[in-house]
Amino acid sequence: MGNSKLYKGSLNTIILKLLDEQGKMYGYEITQKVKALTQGELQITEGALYPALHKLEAEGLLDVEVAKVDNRLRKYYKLTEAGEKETVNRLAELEEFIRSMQNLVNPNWSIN
Amino acid sequence: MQLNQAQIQQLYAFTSKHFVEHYDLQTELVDHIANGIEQQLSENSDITFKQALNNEFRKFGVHGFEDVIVKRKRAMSLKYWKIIFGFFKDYFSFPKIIATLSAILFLGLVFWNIPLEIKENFFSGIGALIIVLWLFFMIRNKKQKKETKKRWMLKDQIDNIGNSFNLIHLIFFPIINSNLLGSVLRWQVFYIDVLLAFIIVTVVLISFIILKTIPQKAEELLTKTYPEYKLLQTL
Repeated sequence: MGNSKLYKGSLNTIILKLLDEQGKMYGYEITQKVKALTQGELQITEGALYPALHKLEAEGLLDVEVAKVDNRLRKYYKLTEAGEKETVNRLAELEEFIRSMQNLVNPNWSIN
Repeated sequence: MQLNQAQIQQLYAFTSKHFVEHYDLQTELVDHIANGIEQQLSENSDITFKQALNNEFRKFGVHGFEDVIVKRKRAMSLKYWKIIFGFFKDYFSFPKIIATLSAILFLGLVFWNIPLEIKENFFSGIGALIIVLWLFFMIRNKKQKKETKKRWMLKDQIDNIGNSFNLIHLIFFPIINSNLLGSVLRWQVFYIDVLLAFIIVTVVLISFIILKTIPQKAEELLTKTYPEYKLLQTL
C-alpha cells in the first residue's frame, strides 16, 4: 500500500469523484473500486471510509438510499446537488495541488 | 456464496456485542462485513464463516468499531444542529420575521423602560423561567418517550435533549450570573437593551425548537434521515 498519509487528505475528494462517476455506491463497493482502480496501491480502510461518508452526509453533500439486497439491507450513497458542485470545486483544488507539487518536485512536468 | 438470514442475524449480534448500539450503524456494518465474508468464502472454500468474520473485523483496526461509532455520533450531532438551525432560520425569514423582530423590539423597550434597580433581577427572572420551562418539557418528553426495540442515533439525539440543555446553560447563564451583566445594564444604552432582548429571544426560539418542534416532527425527520426506518415497517 502506498503512503497513506499522502492519500488521507484526498479521501473525501476520491469518494465524491467516484460517486460522481458511478451514480450511487455502497461502502464495500467503494473500497473495492478504489483498490481495483489503483491496482491495490490504495486501500481505503474501513475505519476511515465510514467516518468520511457520514461526515459528507451530515454536511449535506451526500444523500442515502436503502434497498433490500439478498438477505440484508444495503445503504447506498449518492451526491446531492450541493455535493455535485462541491465535487467540481474539490477536483479543481486537487488538480491545482498536484500541479503545484509537480512544479516543486519536477518543474518540467505538466499535468496536461 | 451468499450468507443466509441466520448468519446475517449473527452479524447483527456481533456488532451489538462490539458496542454498536444503533440499528442504523449496525445495518451498514453488517452489510460491509457480509460482503467481505462472501468474498473470502468465494476465494477460499476451506475457510469457515467465523474465521472470515474475524478477518473482516481485524480490518477495522485495534479499536474495532470504536472509531466509526465515535465519528458517526459526531456527524449525527452536526446533523442535529443543522436541523435546529434550519428551523431557526425560518424565524428570520418572511412572514415569521415580523413576529420575531416585534418580540425583540418589545422586550428591548421593556428593558429600556424598567428602573435600573430591578432590571438585573428581571433579566435573571427570565433566565429562571427558561430553566423551569426546560425542566417541564424534559420531564414531559421523557414520560412520552416511546421505547422501541431498535435504537436510532438521531432518535436518541432528539430524545436526549438534556445534552442541548447543557449547551444552552453554558452559553446563556454565565451572562446572567456574571458581574458583566450588571455593568452592561448600567450603561443605559438602548442598543444594549435590544441586544439583550435579541439574546433572550434567540435562546427562547432555540429552546422551543429543541423541546417542541423537533420532537413533534421526529417521525418525519427520522424517515428523511433513515430510508430504512420506513422500509422496515413495510418488510
